[in-house]
Amino acid sequence: MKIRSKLVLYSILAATLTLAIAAERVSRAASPSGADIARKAAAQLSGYGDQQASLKMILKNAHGNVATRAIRFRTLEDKGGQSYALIIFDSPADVKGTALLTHDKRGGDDDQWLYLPALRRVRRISSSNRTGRFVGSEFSYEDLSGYDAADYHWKRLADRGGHYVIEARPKRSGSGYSRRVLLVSKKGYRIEQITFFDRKNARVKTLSYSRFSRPDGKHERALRWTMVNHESGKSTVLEFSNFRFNQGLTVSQFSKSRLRRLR
Amino acid sequence: MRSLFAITFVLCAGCGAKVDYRGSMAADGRAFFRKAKYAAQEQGSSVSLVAEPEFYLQSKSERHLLTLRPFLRLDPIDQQRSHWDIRRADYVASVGDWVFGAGAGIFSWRVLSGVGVVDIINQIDFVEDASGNQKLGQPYARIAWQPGAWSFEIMALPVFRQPTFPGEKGRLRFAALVDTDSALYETRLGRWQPSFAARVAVNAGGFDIGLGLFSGVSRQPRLIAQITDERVVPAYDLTHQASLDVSWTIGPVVLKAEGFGRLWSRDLRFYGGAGGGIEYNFFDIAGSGVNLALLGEYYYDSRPADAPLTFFKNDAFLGTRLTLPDSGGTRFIVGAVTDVRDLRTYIRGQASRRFGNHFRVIVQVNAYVGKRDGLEGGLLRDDHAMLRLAYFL
Repeated sequence: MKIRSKLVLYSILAATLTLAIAAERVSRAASPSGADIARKAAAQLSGYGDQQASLKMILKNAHGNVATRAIRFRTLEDKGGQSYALIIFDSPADVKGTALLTHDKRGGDDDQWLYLPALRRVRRISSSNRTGRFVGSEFSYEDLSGYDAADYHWKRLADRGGHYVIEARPKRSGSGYSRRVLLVSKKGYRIEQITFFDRKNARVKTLSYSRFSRPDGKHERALRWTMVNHESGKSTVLEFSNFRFNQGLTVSQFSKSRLRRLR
Repeated sequence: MRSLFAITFVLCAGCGAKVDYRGSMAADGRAFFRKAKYAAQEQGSSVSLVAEPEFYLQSKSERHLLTLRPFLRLDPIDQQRSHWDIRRADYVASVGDWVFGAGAGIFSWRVLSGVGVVDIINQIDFVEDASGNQKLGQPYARIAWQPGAWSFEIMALPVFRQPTFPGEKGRLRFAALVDTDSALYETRLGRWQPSFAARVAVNAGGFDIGLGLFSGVSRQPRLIAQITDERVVPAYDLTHQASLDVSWTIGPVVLKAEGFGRLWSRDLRFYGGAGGGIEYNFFDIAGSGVNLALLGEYYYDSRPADAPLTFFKNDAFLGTRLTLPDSGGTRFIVGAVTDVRDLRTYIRGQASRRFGNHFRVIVQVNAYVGKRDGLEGGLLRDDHAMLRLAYFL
């Protein structure tokens, strides 16, 4: 299995922090800028303390063949703004117990380690595989990483019905995309769709968020993410369930030495 | 122990604890390309069964973990390859940054891919794998304090276990037979001579660094030739080791080094061993999702001829790992270890792919190039291929 670099996990984060960030105060101007919208949308996904959920990953190829994976994830935000994420594989059976730990350092390279039960070894994961595909899915590690709103140039492109259309262009090199276009609801600032454009500015993938719900009555989460690759015809669906917030997770549960003891 | 585990299992299933299992069972077909070197050896190709399931019980708080991982190999043709072991049977409590563990388990400090230089807690199961990568469960008690990026631990290893060696009829055996029943120990306590280990590890800024100490019974035997027959008797001295292991990840490059200094026998004679290597990763080649890693490593060991045994005194390793982004998790691994002095080379190539959610098929070829004499002679002659059909629980 290829769980490499920057990976991961954040599957959640993606879900969660999707755009990252710190809940900065956004100007109350009647007409918010692209950056204002991005920050507000990101704020909806952070500030949870700790969260955990189960997720089913459904991989479909162009012929309709389906493979599934069962994953658990946990994330924790500490007061200093650093976040920690853990994903643990429950299936396929040969990778059961494989765990990926990410220490997301704001403004720096993340630390990531992978524990492979078959080898009983913890390996550090390189941060230079951002464009690679995560466990054979249509998500790249980059798609699943939490991203910091400050790392992008934001532009408000248009308003479409009840939605803002905003564009993100990466400030730094290393991204597999020239730009992303996000559809954000005016009410509630929730991200409902992201379209990805490759370096030649061709539309390559679309990620749609659906089945919005408030599992704890407070934090809104999309329980279904659908990523469609327009070039290959393949798709990957993530279905989240059993979301729990603030169960008292601690930083020591996200240490490298803890990886071997995870079950 | 096992019945105790079974009872606990049943009791705890109802109390909110997580009871689960993982691991695998497999059928191995093995075919040798040449006739056996020694008359007593079974000639043959065979099919054998191997199982290594892991049962565990974890409290709801995740503070308590009870694990049992037995190992069993059944080979109907080569009876001496049939053997079992308890790879792991222990209880581990995690209380804040503290960890307490007791039972039997496997602990590895190595960072190199081809050969582990600094590992010293566990014994090698040579019957299971001539490459030395399979280890026997070691009885232990351990206390660790792991605040943040740091880890401090001490271990007591109350009893010594001998490594396993193939029997007279087995393939992949050494030129001399190792008479484990006559093993010699330096101290009067014999295998009950306790050993101790300590380790400090830290990770920071792309570095993972560990410092290890060990004092106790040597994990590698000196082999003493007998005048009367072709057997050799293993002798286990007292050994004291200090080791360092470092890996540094910078983008697609991983630099690794590990080494030890060792005092052995009553005279406290010294030798050292070290290895270093580089791993270069080509991630997501041409946007295809294919990853390729190239590895190069070198090992050197200064031990004199009468010191405990090693096969890696002056050796180089070249390896490559290719992984495809398919849902079968297809991967290809090839590695070769060459003795720099006489260029004899051991090559292992492996391809594997998952089928469905529970099966994985693995094809492996082991080949040897160069002189086939010396202690490893019998081993080096036994080129073979293996097909494994594994069912993961």
